[in-house]
Amino acid sequence: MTVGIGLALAMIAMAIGYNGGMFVLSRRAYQQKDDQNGRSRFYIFLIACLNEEKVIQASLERLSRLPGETLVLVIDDASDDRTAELVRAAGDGVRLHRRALPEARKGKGAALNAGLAHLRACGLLDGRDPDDVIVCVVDADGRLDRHAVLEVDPYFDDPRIGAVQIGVRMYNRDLGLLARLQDMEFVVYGEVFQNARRHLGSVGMGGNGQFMRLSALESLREEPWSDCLTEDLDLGVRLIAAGWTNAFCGSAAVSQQAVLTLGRLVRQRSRWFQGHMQAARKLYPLILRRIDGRAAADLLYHLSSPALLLLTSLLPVSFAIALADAVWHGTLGPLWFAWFYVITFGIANVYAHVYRQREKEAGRLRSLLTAHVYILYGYVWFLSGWWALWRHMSGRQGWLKTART
Amino acid sequence: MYAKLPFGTLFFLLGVAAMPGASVPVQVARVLLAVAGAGYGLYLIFLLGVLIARLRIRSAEFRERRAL
Repeated sequence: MTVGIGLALAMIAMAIGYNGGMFVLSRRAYQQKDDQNGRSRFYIFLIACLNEEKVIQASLERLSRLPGETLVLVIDDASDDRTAELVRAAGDGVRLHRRALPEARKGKGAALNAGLAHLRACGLLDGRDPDDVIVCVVDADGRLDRHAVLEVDPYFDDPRIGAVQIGVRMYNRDLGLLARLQDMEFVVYGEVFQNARRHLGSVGMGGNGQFMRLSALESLREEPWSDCLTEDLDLGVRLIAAGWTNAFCGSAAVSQQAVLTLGRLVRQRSRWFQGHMQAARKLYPLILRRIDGRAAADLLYHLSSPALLLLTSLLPVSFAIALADAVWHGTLGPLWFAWFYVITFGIANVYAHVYRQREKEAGRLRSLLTAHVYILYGYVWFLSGWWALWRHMSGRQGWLKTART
Repeated sequence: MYAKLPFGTLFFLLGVAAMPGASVPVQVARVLLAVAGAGYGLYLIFLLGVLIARLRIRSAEFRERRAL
């Protein structure tokens, strides 16, 4: 048993080392080339929709107001509601591509691939240099910052950059603690892990707010978006394997709708977790063959995180049993509780600091209290992880789409 | 997936490992830790296998290039 406990301690040491190292890296400045400075680029926004009448109109209104040469293509994946009707009424800069069953409803990746094929077929890309066509994927509930294109464009001055991921926020973060915690989660992820990954060459793509050069997408040997549940993760790794560099732009964000109930949150995260497991099986061989050095090490660690997360889920159970016993027998003095508080919630100060850098109006005390709850919020991943594992083991691979409100 | 190990929770382990007493519940708690540790041991073995696979793939590719 001693060896097992020692290994569990080693697991903690690794997690602390990794997270601490990423935090330090994320604070360092990053230099990039600007060999293609001054070129004008054509931005195409792809939105895959399945029954999105509740959110699509507001998203299109915001996209239509973006500066520069832009086009919005909505891929309607055989919606039963008024999605197509609302898209048609959206104006000149918005095009609709309707898919019909049985080809439709095969997942977001298939819909995006169909959208890109439609763009090529209808001649909209004819005569354009694929290096200067930027394809951006936005979710139907996505609200891009007005300055997003201006912030992202300089990244593509570096000819090595194939894709840029922007930050992700929750536009309904004022609607309750759960929404606020999701906002903090995405801010911390972007500001710490994505920023750090710029230095490692392993920036990941998200499903919302991913900007990609058309030439980068065309350099992939197969269709850009795969049929796995996390096609964004898959695409980001394949771009790196194809020799491109992914960048992260934290100064612009796309805001999406946070889920407002715990049940929906667990369901959404179980889909991501399951997709992560699917992608890992496919991407491990690719990383081993095509990606070098620090990027490979980070991606392999990142892809193996579901296994670590499931193992970690045993720790709080263990702690709760031991703590309850100690309290029952009165063997713990106040100093022990102070120690537990520091080792458990001390990191909340870092989360609060990182969050306040992006959310200036959040007060210091409020951010700190939210960060305390955020530590407990991490348990959601344990529930989602075990559910996803059960779905995976029982052969259920479907798309548990997040319902809009 | 936007999850990183919620590593605030990882620190719990330090408390259990160091907690005084050896009652039955504490023993159960330590067994759970040992199970997590054993799982991590398997994870490390898997990583070692991945490293070996990488070296083999790279050396095979190097030999192919030299043969050309």
